[in-house]
Amino acid sequence: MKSDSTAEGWNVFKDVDSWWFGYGSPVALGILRIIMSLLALEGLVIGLLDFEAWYTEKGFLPIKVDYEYWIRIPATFQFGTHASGAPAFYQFPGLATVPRINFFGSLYDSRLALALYLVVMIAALLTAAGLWTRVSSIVLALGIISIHHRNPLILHSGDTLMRLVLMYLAFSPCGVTCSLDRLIGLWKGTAPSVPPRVSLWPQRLIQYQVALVYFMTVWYKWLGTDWKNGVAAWFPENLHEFYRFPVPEFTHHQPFLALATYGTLVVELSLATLVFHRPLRKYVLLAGLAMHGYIEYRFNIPLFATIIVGTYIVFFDGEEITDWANRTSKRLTRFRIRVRLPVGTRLRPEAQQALTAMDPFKLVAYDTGVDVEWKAWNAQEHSKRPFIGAWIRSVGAWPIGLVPGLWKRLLTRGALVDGGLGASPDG
Amino acid sequence: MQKSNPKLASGPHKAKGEDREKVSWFVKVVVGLHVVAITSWVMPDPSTAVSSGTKLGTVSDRILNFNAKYVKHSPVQTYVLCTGFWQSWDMFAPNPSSVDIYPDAEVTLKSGRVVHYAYPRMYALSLVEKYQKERYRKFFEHANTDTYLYPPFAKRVAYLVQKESGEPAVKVVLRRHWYQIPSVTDFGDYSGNLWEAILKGKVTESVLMPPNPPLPPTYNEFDYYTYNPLTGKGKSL
Repeated sequence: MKSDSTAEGWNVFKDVDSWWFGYGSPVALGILRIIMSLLALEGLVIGLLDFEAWYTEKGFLPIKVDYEYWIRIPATFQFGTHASGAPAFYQFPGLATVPRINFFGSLYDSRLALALYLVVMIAALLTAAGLWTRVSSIVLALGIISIHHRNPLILHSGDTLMRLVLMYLAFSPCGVTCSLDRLIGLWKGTAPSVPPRVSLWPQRLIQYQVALVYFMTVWYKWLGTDWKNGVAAWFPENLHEFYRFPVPEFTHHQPFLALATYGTLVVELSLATLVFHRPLRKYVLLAGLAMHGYIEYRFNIPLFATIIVGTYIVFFDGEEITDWANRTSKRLTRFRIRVRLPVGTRLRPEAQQALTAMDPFKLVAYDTGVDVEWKAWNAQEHSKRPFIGAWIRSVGAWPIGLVPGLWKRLLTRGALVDGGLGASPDG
Repeated sequence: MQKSNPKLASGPHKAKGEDREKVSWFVKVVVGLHVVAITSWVMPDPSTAVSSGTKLGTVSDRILNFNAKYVKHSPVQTYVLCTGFWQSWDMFAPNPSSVDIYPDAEVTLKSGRVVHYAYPRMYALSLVEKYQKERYRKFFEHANTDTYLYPPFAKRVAYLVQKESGEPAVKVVLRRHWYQIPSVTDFGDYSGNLWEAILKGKVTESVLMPPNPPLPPTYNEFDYYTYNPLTGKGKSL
């Protein structure tokens, strides 16, 4: 009996270990990287518009005043007490507060601060594109930490969650897929045709982190009276500073207030718990989408809903996302096109792999044609424009299309004249 | 007859590279400690009665008290603050704010002219503007209550007005406009009243959907800080 329970305990331990530290597809991390770095970039652009107000010595929070915010937290290790004035177990020598990562901490010159801020913006752009991802994601994470430490008084919970997710991503191999790094590797023939399996602990940490957000917010809310009494939804509805779009008047009355109040608690608690139960996951996440969709519509809390909903992707394994793309591909057969290369040319195998990687829904097929020019036909055998047609259908190529002529150049460079010579860029 | 593959003899087939799919114990320990640290950091503080020992409290109170005493303010605090893993998830909690509030300021210039400074107020801005300027609202949440922020706030206002008017400011008065949002019938009372009305057979519209108390028609005004940009000295009012 005892050995049975020991074996069972060991099995549970192995399951937990396998869940946290198992290997799998990095696709979810790759997509999350794109979402979070684009949202970070948007937040940075918004911050840039009021840069002087928030990050300079002429602003609302000069560096010295920011220091006053942090100095309230002493640079001590304490055990056995948390009362203020109690003797510390250990005091950092020479420091009044806990040291922290803040590259803006001594940039009194606003031009230098602005330059560093722009570096962080570039890092966000590079991370989104997945170019030099290992370095750019670390620079982005350190930059966002520094910006948040420079002025923590203008942050909402979405900003905090974004910072944490970017930190986890910086530790993760999030650039091995859905990235320019991968496309360049495929193009050069140095990357494997299938993205390598990676340890999923960063993804699990993000899942845990998101669940922790929801669990703790429910706990904090349960400590108050308004949430228990079913009236909490009434107050934000009447805070004019949050107002964005109107809702029908009846929603401001009982029993709808109680429905909104208790409904919020139920959905948030589900997002902390039931979301890990696979059969319920989809419904829980849909409920979360509905709740945050309402908040986004009703209240002016920029980026909050988008950031938290953007993290939902990590509740799906990379393999599930790939399977979904394959199923979607089958539903989209009528949108497929066949691109015919000029006669006597074909795609280099490396270019073929890179182009396939850019086309997750498998909507474009490339083969050798009989004409002297590039041609394309859709499933109904109607003629299509080859370069535009292939670009629109290759989701991963959309950013490339932002640079005029680059996509066409890539395709023509990828073509190989039978016999070994590359086709001219003019096709 | 096909020969058995010696590589398969000792166990199940493993995918290419699967042997390398192992995470070191160091990483596992670090991840485990990190999970403990962030969980401890975000847990609520115990009530004063429990933390001071005058009340034992419930099991969760005791957990919170233990966490606050022995875990949260230990190296956990240093770790989360140093690295940027600090966090707090008390959105609209424990109770949502019930005070509708916004600030503005009166600035006296050297010539004696008094200029009104309108701090960006979300309600008065367009959709695009309020999306961009929302951080002003968030900042005032702190600047309203944290007195150490009064002087830099007033100094910034003086700077902006001076930049706009081309004339030095000699006095800044910060003012808050606010009202308390009255509470509504709680759900317990609502369901009690409804049940009673059902029993009496007198279910009316006001029982089904009770009217809410009216919001105050105007905001209260309060000058809360005065500042002299020339001397850099200020005073709470």
